[in-house]
Amino acid sequence: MTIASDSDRPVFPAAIPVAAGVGLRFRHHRPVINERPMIPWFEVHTENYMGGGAIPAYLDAIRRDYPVSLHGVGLSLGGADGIDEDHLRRVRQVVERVEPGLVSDHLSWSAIDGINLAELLPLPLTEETLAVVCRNVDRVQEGLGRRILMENPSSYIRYRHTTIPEPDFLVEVARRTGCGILCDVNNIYVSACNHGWDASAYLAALPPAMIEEIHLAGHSTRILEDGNALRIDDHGSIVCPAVWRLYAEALSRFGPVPTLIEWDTDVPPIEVLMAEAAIAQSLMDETAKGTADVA
Amino acid sequence: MSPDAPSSLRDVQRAMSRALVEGDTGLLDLTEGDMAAEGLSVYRSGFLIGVAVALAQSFPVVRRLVGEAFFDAAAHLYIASDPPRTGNLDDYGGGFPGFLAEFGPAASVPYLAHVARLEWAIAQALHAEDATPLSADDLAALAEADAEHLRLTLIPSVRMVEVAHSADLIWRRVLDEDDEGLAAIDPDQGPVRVLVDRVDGLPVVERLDDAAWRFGAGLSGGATLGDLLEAAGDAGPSLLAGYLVAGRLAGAEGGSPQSPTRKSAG
Repeated sequence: MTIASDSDRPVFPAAIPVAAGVGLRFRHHRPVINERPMIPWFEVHTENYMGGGAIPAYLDAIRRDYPVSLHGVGLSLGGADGIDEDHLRRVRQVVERVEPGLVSDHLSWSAIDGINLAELLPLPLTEETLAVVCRNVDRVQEGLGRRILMENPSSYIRYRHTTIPEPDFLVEVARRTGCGILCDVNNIYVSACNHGWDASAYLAALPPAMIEEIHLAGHSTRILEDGNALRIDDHGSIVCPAVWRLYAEALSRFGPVPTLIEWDTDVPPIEVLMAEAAIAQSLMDETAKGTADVA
Repeated sequence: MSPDAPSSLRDVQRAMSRALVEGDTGLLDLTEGDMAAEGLSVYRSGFLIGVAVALAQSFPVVRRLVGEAFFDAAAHLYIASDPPRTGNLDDYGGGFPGFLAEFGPAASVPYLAHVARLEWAIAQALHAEDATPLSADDLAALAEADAEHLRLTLIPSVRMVEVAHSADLIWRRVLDEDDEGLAAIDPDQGPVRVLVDRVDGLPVVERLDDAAWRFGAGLSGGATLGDLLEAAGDAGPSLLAGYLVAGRLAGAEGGSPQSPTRKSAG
């Protein structure tokens, strides 16, 4: 490995541009360092860069030339036990090292009674859960000394005693804690299909000023024995046409927003992600042009 | 709990934890919709597969030795018996070597648990915090102040482990895909002591003789330099130099001449 390392500090400005970026995975480290592709920003999973060694060193090298967003999967923001202080301390170490433009995690939970289930698990959306999530987000924002974004999850089950619609829940967390919303358009589509929600109504319930990032990804569909279809958010394919249409609708509501292409199962070469990002960028450009024409 | 009474968040999360770890389906009483059972199974398989993938990343040679199907079956049983405790799966798997040592279907492969123990040390070495090793000048400056009572330590990536059944040689030859060399190994050898570290992001495993092992164990155990050198006798200076030149000595207890800073592995 040859990574020049004469400085600890990232040098590229931190701010995430209003443009289509790409989720960076391990197989992309060397191609990105060697070829410096034209990609406006990257997002990585925070937990993959904890500790020391070669992997965080790759990210140091990439950060010198690109803005980076840190996307967490391990804070368990909906956990009834509260935030794991040791995990928060390690997230903070990564934040201090990378100086990211954005920091985010999910409206979900993963840890209870000292066991970490390493999945983005669904929450019953009740007043009790709202209080827990807000307390946890407050603690994270205090511990990191900065705001975070909270992403709407995809889900495969729903609880009988849920009382608050998911978009209203997100908005209330953002209102009470000051966090922003990361709007995952694919997740809205997947959950809307699985639970019979109206995806357009979901988007309409989100105030544009709260939306600071959009995620796009592919999902798969499993046809069950009774003929029902369960959509599974496996991040293992290109973005499907219905999700592109929903993205265009989101842009028309929110205006252009930093948008990320995610791919986590059978991760393809960076060029495949760049092609997806180019589609998102063209839709964003059309929105910007439309807005300018109207103005 | 009554299906009519709203469940507390903690009840829901405990029921989901039982569903994922133990395969219990009581959570379904709290859900609605036609696809809840299938949905729950998506979460369960996501949990087992995701954690097993993390184990496979920490134990790649064990996986190659036993094959994917055996590894996944063993991993799923281990995950149910000792689920992850932190939000970073790099932390997970410290109990897997011990699990394999007691795992009946692996009893015919006595070296397996030893290879696993070595791989766990390697995984920890690869992810350990970065540190700036002491230079010869740093050491000279520290020694000038009080060599006798100086307490040095090892950088965080250094691990020392005892393995039997030629596990270190098996590990190397499996990684090198050297089937001929692998077949030539005698797995009935007794224990050896090895030092594990990372160099340029790659693992290194070195056998230690008794003197080097005792010296390294003394360093990591917080012994004073005076005691270490006395115990090592004539070999002491060269052992100290060996650790110094390899860049494995870290700041003395009570403060190093320069505060530890982050250093690229490359």
